[in-house]
Amino acid sequence: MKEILEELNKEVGVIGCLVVTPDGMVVASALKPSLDQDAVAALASRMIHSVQQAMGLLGENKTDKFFVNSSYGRILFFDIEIAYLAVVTHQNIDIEQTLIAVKAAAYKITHRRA
Amino acid sequence: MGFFARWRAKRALKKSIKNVKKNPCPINTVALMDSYLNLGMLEEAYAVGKQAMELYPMSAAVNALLRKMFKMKYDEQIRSLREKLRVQPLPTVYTMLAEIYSDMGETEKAIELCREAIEKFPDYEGAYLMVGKIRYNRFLEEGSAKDGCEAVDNFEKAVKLNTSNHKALLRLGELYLELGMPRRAIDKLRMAQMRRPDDEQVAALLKSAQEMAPERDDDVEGHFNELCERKRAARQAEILLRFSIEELNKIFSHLEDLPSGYIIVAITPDGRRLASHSFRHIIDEQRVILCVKSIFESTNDACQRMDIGGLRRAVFVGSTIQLHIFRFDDMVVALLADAKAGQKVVSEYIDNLIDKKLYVTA
Repeated sequence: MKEILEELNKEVGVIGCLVVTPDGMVVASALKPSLDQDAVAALASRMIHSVQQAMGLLGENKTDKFFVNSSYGRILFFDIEIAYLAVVTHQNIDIEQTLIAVKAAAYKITHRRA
Repeated sequence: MGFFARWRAKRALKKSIKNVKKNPCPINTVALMDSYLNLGMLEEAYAVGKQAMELYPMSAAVNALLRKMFKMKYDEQIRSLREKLRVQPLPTVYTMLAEIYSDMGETEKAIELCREAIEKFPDYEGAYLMVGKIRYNRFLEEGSAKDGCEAVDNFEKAVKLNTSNHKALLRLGELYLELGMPRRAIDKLRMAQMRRPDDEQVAALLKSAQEMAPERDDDVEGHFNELCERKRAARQAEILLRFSIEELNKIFSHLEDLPSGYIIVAITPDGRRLASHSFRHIIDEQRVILCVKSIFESTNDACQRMDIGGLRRAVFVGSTIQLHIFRFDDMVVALLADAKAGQKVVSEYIDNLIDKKLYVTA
């Protein structure tokens, strides 16, 4: 799994990625030195947890994917069944191109596990 | 370009200028930028684009054209500087490249380059100054304590390497003064005054610092946290919008139908309802507001803690619904739609709402 994440990190604009469960357990990660793994994992799992809970208020039991754009970066989340693939990127990336790579990585992770 | 084509382009430019003056909005501004580009007036187009970015930060049309212009302006320079770095990595080349990325608004890339430069050339003050400048601007834009601390830290490092750096000394003096740390401010401003005794700005700042009661401790981070908290509280007390709540309600009541849409709501960051419009009356508005408030609070906070700034726009897609959220001035707007509708369709609806309604009313 680490290899898949490291491969994804080579995409233009990707700063780091990790597979994290909603309760904060890091399954695998590949983050550049500018990102602190423990902090990113804790914050990512907090986001997943609160998004799941809030979407539950609207009757949605499962959030398949969510993308957050902030002033200086982006975070992309993909549901990979028991966990989420979270990818941190620069702000001005070619989102279509990056999404193809992220979806491919998510597919590889899901099917390797199966 | 032939004579007639140029004549037509000039006429189009005149018309665009007139339109922007009459009705300043993202669509007219993009048309003006395009007109300048058609005449090969890149610098003029770029100047308009930079202003538009400040006026309409959430406009997708402005951002897309600006990115295209940055590419035209900087692509060649970036390629050449990257090549220079590959052959001979000089510290000045790192900062030149970082300066370009910073101008393009890609501050993360700029900081990453400076970090690399600092690792290789720890005694080069230019990289610290560059990071200090970027963090300072981010502190002004986002009001995050972390950015403020990083700005002070990097300016201090630059001053340590070169005690006669007037700009860094002045910036530190200003920052310490704003933080309510006059002792530190006086120290830096006196150093600046020694080198430039005639600088009126330094003299005025020094006078203000000397009139203040000295700080009780040296905890820069603590002072930044207090300052940011004060600013946040002040902003919460007064919602800053470009238009009145009545105007916002009018915009929402005249919205075009979105076939897959359920509801659109506008709230303050702390969850107070400002306006709403239901496309289909099947979802309880209060539940949507609760959901948006909760998601906004947690994601905005997480982004800031991850050091990537506050939330600007987000989309959450489930198996039955999709929720789009964006920040506009001091309000949070959310649009809930059916998941079956294309994500692109809803995104384009929001782009139009921002460019053709919200910024136009403003």
